[in-house]
Amino acid sequence: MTKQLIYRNLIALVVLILLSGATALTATLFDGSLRHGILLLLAITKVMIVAGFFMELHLAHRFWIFALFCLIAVISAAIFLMA
Amino acid sequence: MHADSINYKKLLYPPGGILMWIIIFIELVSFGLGLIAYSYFNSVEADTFSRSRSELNAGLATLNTFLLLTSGYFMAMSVLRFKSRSFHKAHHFLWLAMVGGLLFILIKSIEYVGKIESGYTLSANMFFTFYWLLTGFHLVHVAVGIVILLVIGRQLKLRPETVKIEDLEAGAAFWHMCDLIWLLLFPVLYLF
Repeated sequence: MTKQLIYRNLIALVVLILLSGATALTATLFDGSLRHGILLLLAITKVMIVAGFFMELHLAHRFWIFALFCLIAVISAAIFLMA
Repeated sequence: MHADSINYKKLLYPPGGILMWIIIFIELVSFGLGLIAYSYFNSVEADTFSRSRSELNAGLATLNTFLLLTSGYFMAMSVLRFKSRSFHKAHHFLWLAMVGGLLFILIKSIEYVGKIESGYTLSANMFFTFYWLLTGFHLVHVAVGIVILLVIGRQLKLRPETVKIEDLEAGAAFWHMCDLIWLLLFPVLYLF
């Protein structure tokens, strides 16, 4: 069980690092609002992975999962609209 | 309390405790409002923001992202090891998480010195006002997180049987909050 959790966390870390690489690549390759959209999408995905795996949010009551993801989505949407 | 006896599915007992989750929500809202204001001024003063952003070192910020994420992984591993009663390994991973945080502060300081030497201080323009406020507050959170981990780490080394899982999880949740905030700050400030 512990080994399984360790592997899951390691996979989460590898995915996060790959997404960070994709973030840097996006900033170089894309322009305009498409870039803003992709960058925010990647940021939201990374936040969800950190919260879900590292903070063990999947163990928590679904209220916390829903509330956190809604908050991140609202903040991101507002940033995108303002930009 | 042993980890097995905590029912995380109860609304009032999320991993790290309800108080820590209230703090996490308040912090996310605060930084979120800061980033929304930043985005607004970014659209109003597009030229100034674009020119100023090109003065930032995205390479160092990417390295810091890597360091914080890896540090978050070590923190999660520490909690896992603690739950399986491997206190020595839990302490080892806790220290690795702290080293990641300290390296983050070191790299951020190098970045700050460069900006001050180039004259990009808090009052240089609107972009740098946001840059200093948002990254500065985040850095303070990382520093506070290191102090929390230091206190838990010391207890974990000297009297591991007295450390409660709630304390370690609360420290871990605070540490991951620093990750979450940085993951939003990094693309918006450095790459947008």
